Amino acid sequence: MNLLPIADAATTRRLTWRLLTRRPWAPAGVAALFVIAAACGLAAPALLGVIVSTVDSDGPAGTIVAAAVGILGAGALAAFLTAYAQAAMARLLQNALADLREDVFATTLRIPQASIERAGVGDVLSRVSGDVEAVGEAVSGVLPAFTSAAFTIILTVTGLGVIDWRFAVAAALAAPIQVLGLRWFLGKSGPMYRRVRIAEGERTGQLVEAFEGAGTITSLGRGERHSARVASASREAVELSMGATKVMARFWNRVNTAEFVGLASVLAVGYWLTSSGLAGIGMATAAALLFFRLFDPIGTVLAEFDELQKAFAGLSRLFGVLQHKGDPEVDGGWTGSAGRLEVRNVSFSYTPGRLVLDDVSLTVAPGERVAVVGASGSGKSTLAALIAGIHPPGEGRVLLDGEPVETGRAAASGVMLVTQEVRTFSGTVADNLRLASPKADDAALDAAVRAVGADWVGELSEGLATVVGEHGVALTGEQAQQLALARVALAGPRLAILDEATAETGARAAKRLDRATAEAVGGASALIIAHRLTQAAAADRVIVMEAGRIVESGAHDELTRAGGPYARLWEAWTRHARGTAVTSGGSGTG
Amino acid sequence: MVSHPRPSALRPLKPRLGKIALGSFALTSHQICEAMVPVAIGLTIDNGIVPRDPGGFATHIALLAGLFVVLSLSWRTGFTVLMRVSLEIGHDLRQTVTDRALRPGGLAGHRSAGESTVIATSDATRVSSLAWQVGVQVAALAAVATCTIALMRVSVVLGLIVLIASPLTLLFMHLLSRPLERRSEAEQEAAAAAGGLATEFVSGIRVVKGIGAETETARRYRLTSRDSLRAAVRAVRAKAAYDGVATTATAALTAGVALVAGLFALDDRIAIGQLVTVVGLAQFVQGPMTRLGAFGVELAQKRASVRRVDDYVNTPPAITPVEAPEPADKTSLLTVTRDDHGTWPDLRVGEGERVGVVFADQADAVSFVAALTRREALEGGRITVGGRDLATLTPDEARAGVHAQPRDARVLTDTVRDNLTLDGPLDEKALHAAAVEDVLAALPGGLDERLEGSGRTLSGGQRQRVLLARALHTPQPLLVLHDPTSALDAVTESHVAAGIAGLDGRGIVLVTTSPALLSSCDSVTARLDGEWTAATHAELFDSSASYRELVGA
Repeated sequence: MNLLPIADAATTRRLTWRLLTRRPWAPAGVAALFVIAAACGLAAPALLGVIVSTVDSDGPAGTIVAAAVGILGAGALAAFLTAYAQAAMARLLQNALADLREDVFATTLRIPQASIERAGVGDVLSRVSGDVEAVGEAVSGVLPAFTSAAFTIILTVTGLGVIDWRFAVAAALAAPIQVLGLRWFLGKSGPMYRRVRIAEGERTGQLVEAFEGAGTITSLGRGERHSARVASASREAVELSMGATKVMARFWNRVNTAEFVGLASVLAVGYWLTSSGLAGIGMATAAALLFFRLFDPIGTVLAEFDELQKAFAGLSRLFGVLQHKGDPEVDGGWTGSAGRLEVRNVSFSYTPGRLVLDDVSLTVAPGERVAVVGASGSGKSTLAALIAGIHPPGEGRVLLDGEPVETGRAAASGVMLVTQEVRTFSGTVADNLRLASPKADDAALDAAVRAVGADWVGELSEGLATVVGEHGVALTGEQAQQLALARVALAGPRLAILDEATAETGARAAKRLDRATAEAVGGASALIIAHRLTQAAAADRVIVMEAGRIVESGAHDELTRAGGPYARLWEAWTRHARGTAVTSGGSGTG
Repeated sequence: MVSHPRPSALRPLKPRLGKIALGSFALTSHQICEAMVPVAIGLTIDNGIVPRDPGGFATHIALLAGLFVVLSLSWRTGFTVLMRVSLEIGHDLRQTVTDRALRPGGLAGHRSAGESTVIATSDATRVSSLAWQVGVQVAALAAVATCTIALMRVSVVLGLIVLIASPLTLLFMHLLSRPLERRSEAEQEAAAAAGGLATEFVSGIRVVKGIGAETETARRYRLTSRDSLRAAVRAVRAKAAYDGVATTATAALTAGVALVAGLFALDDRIAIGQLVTVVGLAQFVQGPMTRLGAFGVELAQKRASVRRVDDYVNTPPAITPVEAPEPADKTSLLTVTRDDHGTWPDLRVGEGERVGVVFADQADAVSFVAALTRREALEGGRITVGGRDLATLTPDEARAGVHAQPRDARVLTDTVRDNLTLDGPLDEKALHAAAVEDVLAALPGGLDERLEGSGRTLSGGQRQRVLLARALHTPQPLLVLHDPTSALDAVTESHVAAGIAGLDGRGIVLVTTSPALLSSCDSVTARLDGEWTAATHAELFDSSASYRELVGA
């Protein structure tokens, strides 16, 4: 594993700041709104103080009525301003977030395949979905309340100071307990929550294993074993969650202690100031009520701090992706017809010392169809990946019409690879086909679909506009492969590399797909990684690979007469087909 | 009268009722203490600050300290006890769901792994949090009662104002919150759509890169991302507006109470400290009242989860053994008698025999093998295994006589050794026959390599050879394999065909269209133009064009 980079805290803060201040007046305006809103919120306890002192001094009832009206008016104004500020902040932050996630996604797609495989698709996926989600939830769920609460706290403490600076000092006595408590909590809870998440991930893994493999597990009589595994993973998660619960309980106890210390100090200052005639009962009351009203916002800030910290971690992983140097953008739209492929002395290894390709050279003439035959592990698929620019060759060169095929930019020169992995993406049939040729019109789509024999598209309820994939019509393996081939037919590449495994779909379907492949390739040059010998027999030329080397090359008829490895393979295959008893396995070529 | 069985999902609550009661009591005590804080502030002002009595002030601060001690301890007890109970209940439910899924005989009606996982995690957690909810509700009720008593003691009129106005405000807010829920759902859906698209494209990144669709893919993601942005802004705006109205309503209530209480205090009907108490309580009581009001919605969500867990746990098995007359043939390892539609052939397999079966329709092949695994019901026809009618057997009984490996058999997330030997000894001959030695050589850890994610790191061909080697390690006298070499190249396939042919002893049924495997069988039964025909592979190959087409030559 070699995870994608993660931005450090300073970089994350810097980049976040830059993202937010693209339009600097916007955050300033939002902050101003919050300040005014919080100031209005202070009016209520202050006016209650007025009511108390009016009562204390037997003042006129009119003052009390005026104060009550004031409480209502200030409350309504505060509410309106807060709502407006929160909405403005949401627009600001959501826009920044959308920009960020789109940048991250676009960059992710340009990360070289090799880096993605080293990092694990899981790491990449967790960033474009999990981290984006975590940051999004923090921005729309936690941040508005957090910001309001933070401004309320700041303004309330200021308000206490305005009544008398000694009240603010008294209230501030709670702060060290809160800060230390929070630091203690974050220090403990961070690693604890991480362990809980890992344990829950393990638990989910065991559950998925049990549910997906239920048939296999019961057929092997291993039900109890897997039940016990789920139990122990679940038990582990329970105990770790319980540990986190205890830490949280102790944290809130500390928060309560801070509340008491602050409240008692404010009351004591009130007692002292009133008894020494420095303040009236109304001021003491207002101060006590102001502090009491802080309980909730302080709770909010302390509780959500944790969430914000998690979001910050997600943010640093997103910025980390942006630090990755991706392949240059592929603009598509090549010109020219069938190309001439030259592979010159290419060697390649995934791990040092284990050559997967060993000094491979080959040529595909314009319009020629070359099949590569070999046992699994002989290097066929790696050769395909190298030519398609998925991996850079360790040594040697890959040239198309004399121009090197750039890693990650093969499509720009008209090289198209159909992988063994067949995939339909959620969306319509047309969406799926247009991935490689966004500008193709419906007539072109129809032609491509007919060329590969996917007549079933016409029978779908809405034809090309039918939604397929996870949220629509489920396609069979054969249908999905036809769509993959139709993409090739539509794009009309200069060199098509076909590494699709037709074997899993049964003999008849395989034949249909062989025909579809021929149609899809059309006049392009083609390198076909043959998973069945019939594919080789239909090609213009056959290349046989063994242990990363090319051991034979020539037309099918030529090779069958030559008596080499291909002839032995072909003979073994046709012997099965004719039904002669097998006496010895044709091993030794893998 | 029909008695309804107690829902299975609630069963784990029963033995823990005592602990739930303890936790609820502790939370109640915490809520009462919380309600008493404004009362204590008022008392301190009335008896300490207003009369300037140092003794009274000190006594009341001490009382306040005592209040906070009880408040802290009861919160801690209630929180930890109820969390522990919730986690334990969730654990039990998860186990019940898992055991149901792993019971031989399967589940009637298809359940996807994703759906099962959601039931075992989200739904189980939601049901288990009922314990916590009970505590919170009891405590909220107690808090409202405490506030009522405290307010009534100060002034009946003020008490009535607070107790009537608060629920009305809450009801109003509840009605207002409906459109808010819709907005928030729309936001979540849009976010999920964008996340889903990103997940799909990144998981299929090989395909995307292979066809050079990076730019187009990014463009499509941008479109859904902008949808998500618009939905999120709308949702936050609605939430902000709602909060604004809620804050205004609270301000109105506070202003009203302050006005009345202030006028009462001016008339000396209540003391200044009591004025503070009333205003404080009026603010505080809205918390527990909101929790009481939200209980209905939460209960509805939990009811849905209870039902889903119940449905799952009580799903009948896909197969149930039935009575059937004793079969005549007691010696064959397997006999199959065809049904009226000829979906299956007539078959008889004895010790050491190799029989190939070629289905014209792959769906029939799949259901034939599924019936033999005894996870799907038999329909028509008759199968006997080891002289006993399959329909009369439980899955475990059936498994004693036959191991059937369907096409979608899975590598388990275990070491290679665990996968292959199933705790038995390693069989070198089986390893060689399945051509799995190459696979072992390619793995850094060899036999002790752990195959993560159900062998996701293996290629299709490697995975298939591991599965074949595992099947060859099973002890049953009869082995049924479905397309065991479909992902292998021609070279390896012919090696495997020879390897299987060279094994002795057990009967093997090969459901396949591979000529390499079929030519190694003693006899082959194929469905040709609607009729089942039995002969050797060579005879069928020479005599029937349909057969040649079926086996892909």
